[in-house]
Amino acid sequence: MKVSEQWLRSFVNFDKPMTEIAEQLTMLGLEVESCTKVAPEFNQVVVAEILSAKQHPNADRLKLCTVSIGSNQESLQIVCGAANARPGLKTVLALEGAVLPGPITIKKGKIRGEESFGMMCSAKELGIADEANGIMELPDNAPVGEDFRKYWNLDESIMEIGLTPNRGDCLSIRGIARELAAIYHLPLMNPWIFKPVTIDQKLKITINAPEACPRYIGRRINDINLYAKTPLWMQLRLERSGLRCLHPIVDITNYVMLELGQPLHAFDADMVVGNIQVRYAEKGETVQILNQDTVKLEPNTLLIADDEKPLAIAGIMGGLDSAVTDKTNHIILESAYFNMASIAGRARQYGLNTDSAYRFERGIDPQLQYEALERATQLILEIAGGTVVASGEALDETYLPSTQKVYLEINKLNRYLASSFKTEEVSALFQALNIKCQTQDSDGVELIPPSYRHDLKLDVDLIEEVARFRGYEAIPFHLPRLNTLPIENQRKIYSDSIRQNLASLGYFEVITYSFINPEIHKQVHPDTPAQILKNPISQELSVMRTSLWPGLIQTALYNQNRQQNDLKLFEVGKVFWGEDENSQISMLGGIAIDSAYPEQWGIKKRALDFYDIKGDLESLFAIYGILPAITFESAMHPALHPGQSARILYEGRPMGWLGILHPSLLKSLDLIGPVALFEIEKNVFSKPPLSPFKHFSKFPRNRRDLAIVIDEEITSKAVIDVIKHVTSENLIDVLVFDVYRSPQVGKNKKSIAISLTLQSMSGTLQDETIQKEIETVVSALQNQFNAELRE
Amino acid sequence: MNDQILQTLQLEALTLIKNCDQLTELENLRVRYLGKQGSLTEQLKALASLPPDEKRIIGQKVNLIKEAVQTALQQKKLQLEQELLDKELRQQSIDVTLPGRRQQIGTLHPVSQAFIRIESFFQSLGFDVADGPEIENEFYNFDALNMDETHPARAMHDTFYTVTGKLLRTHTSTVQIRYLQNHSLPVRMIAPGRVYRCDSDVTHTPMFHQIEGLVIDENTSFADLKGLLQLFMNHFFQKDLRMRFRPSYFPFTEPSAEVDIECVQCHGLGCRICKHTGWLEVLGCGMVHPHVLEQVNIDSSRYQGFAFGMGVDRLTMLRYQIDDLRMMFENDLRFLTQF
Repeated sequence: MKVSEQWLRSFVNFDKPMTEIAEQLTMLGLEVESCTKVAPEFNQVVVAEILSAKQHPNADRLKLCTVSIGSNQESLQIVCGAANARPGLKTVLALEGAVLPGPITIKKGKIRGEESFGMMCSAKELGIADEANGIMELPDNAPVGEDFRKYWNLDESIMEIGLTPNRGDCLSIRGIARELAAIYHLPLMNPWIFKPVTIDQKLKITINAPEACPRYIGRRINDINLYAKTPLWMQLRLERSGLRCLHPIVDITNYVMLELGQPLHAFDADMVVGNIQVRYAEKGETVQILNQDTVKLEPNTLLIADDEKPLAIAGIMGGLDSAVTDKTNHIILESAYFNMASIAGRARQYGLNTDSAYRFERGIDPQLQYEALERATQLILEIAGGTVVASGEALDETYLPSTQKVYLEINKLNRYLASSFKTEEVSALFQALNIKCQTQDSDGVELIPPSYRHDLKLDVDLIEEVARFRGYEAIPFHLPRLNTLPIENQRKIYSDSIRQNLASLGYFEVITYSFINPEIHKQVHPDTPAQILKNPISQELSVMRTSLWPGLIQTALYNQNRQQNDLKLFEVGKVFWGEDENSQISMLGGIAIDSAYPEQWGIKKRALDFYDIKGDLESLFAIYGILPAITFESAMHPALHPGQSARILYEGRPMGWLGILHPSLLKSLDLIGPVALFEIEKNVFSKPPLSPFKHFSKFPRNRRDLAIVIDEEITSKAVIDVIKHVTSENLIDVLVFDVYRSPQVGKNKKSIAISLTLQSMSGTLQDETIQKEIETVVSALQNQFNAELRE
Repeated sequence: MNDQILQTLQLEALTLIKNCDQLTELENLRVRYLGKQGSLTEQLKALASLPPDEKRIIGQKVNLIKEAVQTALQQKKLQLEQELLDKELRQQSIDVTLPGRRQQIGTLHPVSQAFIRIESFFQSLGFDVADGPEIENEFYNFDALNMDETHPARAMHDTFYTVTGKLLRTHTSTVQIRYLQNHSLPVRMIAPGRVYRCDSDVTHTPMFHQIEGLVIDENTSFADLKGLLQLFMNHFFQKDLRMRFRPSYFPFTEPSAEVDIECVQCHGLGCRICKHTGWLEVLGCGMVHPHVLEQVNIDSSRYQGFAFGMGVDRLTMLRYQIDDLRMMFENDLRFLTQF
């Protein structure tokens, strides 16, 4: 909200510089986002009138003007280049010796041989507008000779205040002034004299929804002056508050809204058929509103209507048909209380965020309607003339919010703020805020907040008032007492260390959006439905990911488009298999592209393959002691190469995937490969077993190497499983140390070299014992796999 | 045989040994003097034909010469062997300045690093670290936090909804209620995580990170909140920072405050980062609203507490002097490698 300094000063006469006022308001919770002077420094600029404007004898684009700066002053000759310089125009003139923003000093001088005794200025040259088209054009009644700064009220600042939604009471100049009056112990003034109009003629108003609109006051004013103009002082205040001037009646209603916080509305009385009523919209009803849109109304919407049709969406926007125009002779003024809940959300529902709706949503003072109406009436009669002919109020007090007593226990206050207030101090503080202290004892006070402070409902709300007006800086710095034991959070510890370990394995951590492009989702998980956003930022960010891969792939693409092809990236984050809590699973995913190692002199460049990344994962599992519980089994995934993909199992349960990106996906995504991907549930790492110490043998170990030729499709795991199955507990290690294929080995065959390490806990193994074990192994492999022993 | 011959022989042998620079040549010299037919061996053999007196005297002399030659040979051999080894090793020398063979080392995203810093601070003070779902319902995100359907604050949240009517949590405050439902009092916890708002421009990303803090105990005061946050900010930025608590409004706390720290860039003098105010708004906090406590049946006349929530991306940017928010989630390798 924009607040004019002069307007504010008409309510409270503070003698502090605006920077201090801004700081104080901020510390009261009314955050001043900016405080800027309306105009930069300049002087000796006066209102002037152009008496004549002739062509400059020596320059096509210049004019020679005679300018009056007052009846008792001599007219001045001014050379001017503005196209709009014309006889009769009231404008501004910087006199000889004037200093304009820049700073520029105006001197008497000759321009193309003609003397000029000053400069007529544009709004831009005076620094009060960013753009200008020619010199300023002032109203015809501008007082020639008057200092322009004074005339245009330029010696003030405008504050932009960001208000929190609870402070509807501060959405007005008077509301802000109340806060300042309270903090500085100054009286709150009224810049006008309250003179209620007495009128016998009643205006009939019917309220059909008193719970939403407990009070509606209407007033008819006839015969307003069609030629009335909004006075300059009001125009300036409205414009500096960010409102455009439209019509004197509309301007006055806006002015009163800004000043007091009560939104008002004026109808063209000739367009109202019968009586005004307040009711909910009927299904399918429509109204054409001021912005020319025709709105289809929902039954949750409160309307102002006459006997035939809707006139306005209550508290939000008026209708076009009943709007005040240049031809309006008679008006009906509305001043009503719509309760917060009946307006909240409606403006957004129709996309109509108006100043009026904004105030009703945040709650206006339920006792303000008469005062605001009288203020507006006074201004209308003053500015636009007319006669009040009828007035009427519909009121249902049962629904009008009333002030509630709140009991504040002093101990609680002091417990909250670590303070030592006494009831008397607190009562004094509340009185400044217009909060009545009804009774007080040593334990507490009973308080009645003013009608405009609907946010003060509970004792804690009043504790905040004490804190606010004492200043938050008055609250000491303590530390909470530690009476709980620190908790070792395993999930968190492992989550951090997984990240660190993956970084050590060469992976860079990325953070990508949880919502992704549905196209890439379909490519990665064609059979899994994703959760769809109703209101995404864009189509590209419209479904919730079911895998970390789309984000990793897109990050890889982003980097490859910047000539960064060699990548190892990982991400830790949730994927969304569904919307319930248990379907939101924390995953760890990675992508590795291009070479197995970064380019270096000491290792020959080699494209990465499945086993490089499998090795990384095995290292990671080994760090957490869970490698023995992990198995990799050949399985198909739509995003992965059908022959180079594995499902990862932890204690037999599927927990993730590893593989090479499917070649057709690689092509359609336009990635430079090879690309390996992995993804594992983070849970796998959260409960590493605590394995007890095992004794090891002190007797010599024996290694025997075997090379066998088997069919290509027999997995190394199958071979090792058989070996482990048939040998005794003396087998302590099995290692595949070579896999070899050649024409000699045979088509669809491979040679695997395996070393067996044997060692006994009870003694040195004899050659015969070892030989027996090896023979058992060989014959088992022959029987199971038709393996052929290579000598 | 006379001394002359023996002395010449000794001189000759020692000179030749001294000048020898090859092990093979040295071996030849050994053979030449000490071999079976070596000159000295011959001299010893010749002793047999001498009379006993002479034999003893000459024999002594020849043996002395033999010992001298043997010692010279031995020394020379050691010297030549050492020289040979030195030469060989010299040939094996490498360029120690060439880089070692290695896998690259990755980095943690700066936001993760900030989370780790923040979490370890609070863990050291006994805070639990809690997690919660990111697709949430209106109850945990709004209603339970004292923001009913018509609350204006609710409209300010720019909430993402799913087509089924769930929402993406707009703040980590959702974890407050979830945590209180499952833990007994007193509690102190933080809840880090991703949050979402339907807003995207130079200073907003539709996804960002927050950390929520919650302490509930019998005597927890606003002063405790102030002290804790001051300690935290000093720790996070590793300097003593001026701090300012301003009254503010959050539906789920009362009294509420927004917290500014002295601009870490200009030390409060005013710069572009702090929009020339000298202050940076870094978090929101307050005493937990009684309505929130009522949601989880906590007796608000006995227990009270505070909550705070901060934007981790902003803290990260301030710490590392990152001036463009959008970079945080572009994940350009040139960005990531810097942390």
